[in-house]
Amino acid sequence: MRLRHRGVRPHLALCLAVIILLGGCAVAHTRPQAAPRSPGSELVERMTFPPLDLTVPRVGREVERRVLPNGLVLYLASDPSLPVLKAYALFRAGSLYEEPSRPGVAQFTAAQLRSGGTEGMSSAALNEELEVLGISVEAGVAPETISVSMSALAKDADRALDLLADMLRRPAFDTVPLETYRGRVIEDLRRVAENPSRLMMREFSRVMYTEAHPLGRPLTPAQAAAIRREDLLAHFRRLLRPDNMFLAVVGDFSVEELAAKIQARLADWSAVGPLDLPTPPAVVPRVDRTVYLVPRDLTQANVVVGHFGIRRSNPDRYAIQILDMILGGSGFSSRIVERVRTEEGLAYSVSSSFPTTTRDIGLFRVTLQTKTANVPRAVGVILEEMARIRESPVTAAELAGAKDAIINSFVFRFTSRFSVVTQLLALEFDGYPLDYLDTLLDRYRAVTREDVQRVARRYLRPDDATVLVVGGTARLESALAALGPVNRLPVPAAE
Amino acid sequence: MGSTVKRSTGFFAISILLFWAGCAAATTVLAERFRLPVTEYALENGMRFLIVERRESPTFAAFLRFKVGSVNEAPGQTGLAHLLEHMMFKGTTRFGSTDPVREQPLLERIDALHVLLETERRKMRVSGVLPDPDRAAALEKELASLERQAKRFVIRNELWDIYRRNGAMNLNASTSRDGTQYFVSLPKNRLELWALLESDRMRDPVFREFYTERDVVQEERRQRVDTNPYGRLMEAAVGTAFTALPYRHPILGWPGDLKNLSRPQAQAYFRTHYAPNNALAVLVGDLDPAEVVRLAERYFGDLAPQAIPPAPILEEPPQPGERRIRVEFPAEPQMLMLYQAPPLGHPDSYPLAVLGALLGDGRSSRLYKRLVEEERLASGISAGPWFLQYAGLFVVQATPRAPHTLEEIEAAIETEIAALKSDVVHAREMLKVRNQTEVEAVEHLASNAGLASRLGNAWALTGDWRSPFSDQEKLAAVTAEEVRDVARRYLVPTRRTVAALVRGPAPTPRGAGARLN
Repeated sequence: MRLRHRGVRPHLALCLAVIILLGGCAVAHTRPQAAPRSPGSELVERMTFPPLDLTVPRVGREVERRVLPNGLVLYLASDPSLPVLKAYALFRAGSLYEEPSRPGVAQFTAAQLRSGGTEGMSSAALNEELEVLGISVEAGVAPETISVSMSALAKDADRALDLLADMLRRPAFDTVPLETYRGRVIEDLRRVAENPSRLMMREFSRVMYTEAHPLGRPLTPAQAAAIRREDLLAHFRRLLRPDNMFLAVVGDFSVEELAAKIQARLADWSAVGPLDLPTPPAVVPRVDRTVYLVPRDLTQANVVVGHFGIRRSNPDRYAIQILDMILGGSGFSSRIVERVRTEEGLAYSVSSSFPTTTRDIGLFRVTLQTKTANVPRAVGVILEEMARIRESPVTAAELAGAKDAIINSFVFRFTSRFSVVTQLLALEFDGYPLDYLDTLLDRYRAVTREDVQRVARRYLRPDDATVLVVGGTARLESALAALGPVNRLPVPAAE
Repeated sequence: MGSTVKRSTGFFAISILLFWAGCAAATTVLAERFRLPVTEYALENGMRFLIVERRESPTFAAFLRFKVGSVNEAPGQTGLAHLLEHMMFKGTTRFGSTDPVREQPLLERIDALHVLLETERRKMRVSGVLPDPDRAAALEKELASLERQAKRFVIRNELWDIYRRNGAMNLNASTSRDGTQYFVSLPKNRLELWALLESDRMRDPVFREFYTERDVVQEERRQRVDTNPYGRLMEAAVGTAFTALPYRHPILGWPGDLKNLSRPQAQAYFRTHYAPNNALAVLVGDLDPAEVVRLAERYFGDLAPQAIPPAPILEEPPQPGERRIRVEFPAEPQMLMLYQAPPLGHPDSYPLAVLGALLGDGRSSRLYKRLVEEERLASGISAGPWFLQYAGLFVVQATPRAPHTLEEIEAAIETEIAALKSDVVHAREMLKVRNQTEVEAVEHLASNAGLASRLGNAWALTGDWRSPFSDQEKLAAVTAEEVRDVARRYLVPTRRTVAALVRGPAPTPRGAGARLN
């Protein structure tokens, strides 16, 4: 979780001024030309498009990779397109690597790296200087990582890197900003129930991963209250070290200039003793149909239907991504969206998501928001579509549409030098070979209709999918009972 | 076709030069580096194009804006601009149907039946006569049968599908109070596809599946407003702060209007406002301007211009006094303060923007430091102006931290505002805001899509696509005295609406009464 710190203006503009056609955001996509044809589609098919000259960026060509003697993995690229310097650091230090007796410590450590001051500067002085120079530094936490990103004008690059290096190497974790942050976290937790989609995802993770796994143990106010400064220091000393760090730096400088700037600030940082990276507990997938209701008296219900999926090392991930695009992950060009939204008008937001990039087994889920009376119908459609894609192969047009979308939009992965560098860095972080992108499209091209059906049969389990609904009415509860015994979950109270 | 091409190369160079005026020697070199050629082109039918050449990647971003938004809606038809935006994805005569000729009469018959059904259902309210349940049921049955027949011709989401297969990213559209925007990014070799699909839907859209999409938008409303405390509060607050201006209406429409919008209304709205002379397109990316011009002529050149209704003259009267509202919802408290402010481009808008940044932008802003860090009254706070074509609001939003109350929050905000009225801001704080404005200006150049929408929105609202850059100069020139002056004139109780969200039951939806059951 990340609390919002920056000013309102973009946020206000969004809330006040704009209503968008399709909520949320989608990544690479498509589906087919159905067998029936429109006059226009023939026009489009007659169009020819000159080939695009696209060079897939590589480590050693567009991006320079170095490893400092202290173990820090450094990705560098020169980018003369704008007078800025950007940096992005990743540490294997997310919530999965927390001391089990200190839940929440990764989140607190990340927040206080940014806000807790440094040995030389108070939090307030640091904020003041960063904002006077227009430098942005933000830290975030995820199950696997703590990340820190920075952006500054090139003219302030040296000072910006000085401050960043201080924050990473010499954080003070002052108690005053720590208490401010703790209070904000607790206030945020008091408000979980009033954001129904957030409540839904939180409860879904909880019931699926259970107490046995960190992902099944969302932070409680009592845990947030118990975290001490010493816990942050311990997490920092254990995991935020150069031999557990990946850093990308891109800017309006030569690679040699960038390298010199980083070396001057981080080369003499050495870790004490060997890195002791704990092995996170393994996910133990559970496969059975359970139905949950989180009672909230609202006009619209939030629904999730899902089950355990795969981990990123699974070689079926490419076929699964295509399966997900055709099933519900590709906006309007997917079966579930087409039926639930376009054909039946049951929901504004509906989509499937089959994560294929998590270290351990992730959660496949279909989520939607619909008025209470429509919940049984919408869940029925979702389960039907999950069953149908197992029973009969997708059409050739659907498969071709998904592949075209992936292949033709591939160029958008590389629209800025910074996105190129951070992507390559993340690939190495996740354990992929350095030339992974070179052959990535071939892996999608190789997927057949049979593959899609095979992975659908193997990884989609409509009969065992868990259904969780945040919503109201006794009638809804009895309708859900048709799917299985309904377990009521308590709504977290504000007090 | 006789049209005008204006090449204004070097403009960006000028802006960057100004931008870099503080750092002496580097100026010219940097300026040279950011030379982005800009080409302006107008078709004879009045449609305007702006082409910015930028070759960072073999892609381009397209931004098409119509100068019509929810502010232009007729009474009783709130939500129409936004629903129409959804309908523009439903295809045309050429796209989205296997047989548009046989489909057409079915769609018209469906419209007529919807009118008859609504009339039947409203009998009681309109004329005191009891509705005839048999007649309503018969109409519903016929309607269902016709909708089934019409469905057979539909190729669903074909526009979306074609774009996706061709590598489109960020494909979407948005409706705001002053305008409606359609945007997409494509590989550069798909320029002609963009021209074909966009000109086709400007020429001849077919609003098929209208009544289903109306259901979708009602779900959108439930999601964004009915179940969302912030959405509820904002809708009520804006609806109170404006009285004469149609800005008081939500873009999504009032529920009673939304559920009764009809396809003929959408068609009429489209015919009135979606003309080439009411549209502008901005394309940013790896493009050859001559090729864009050729395709613009070929695909958009034959769209017929039409008389656009004159822009309304709208003025919000001065408030007779402070307004306060309470919104009840099953959620923890939060508050909004909305001060009446001048419209976009007004001379006072610049010091007000600086004032917003000083008060509420960033961790070192005054409200954040006092309310979040020092006194710990709030878990979050923000402030800033919202400028529209005909009026503006200065918005302060705060989330209290239990057990602190909205009253405490309000008092603390008042203290900070009072300080800005009595003392001039220190030079270093002014420098901070100026630097942040400069950084934002560079960030806006970072992506094709961001630059396209920024230029397009400015062009539509001010008539000059250069205005973001001249605005930057005006912001940089704002003095501490001007900031104090606008604080004194605008941040006063008589210009203010204070909206508080307090815990209470969820409102019961109306609507069952309007139906026959």
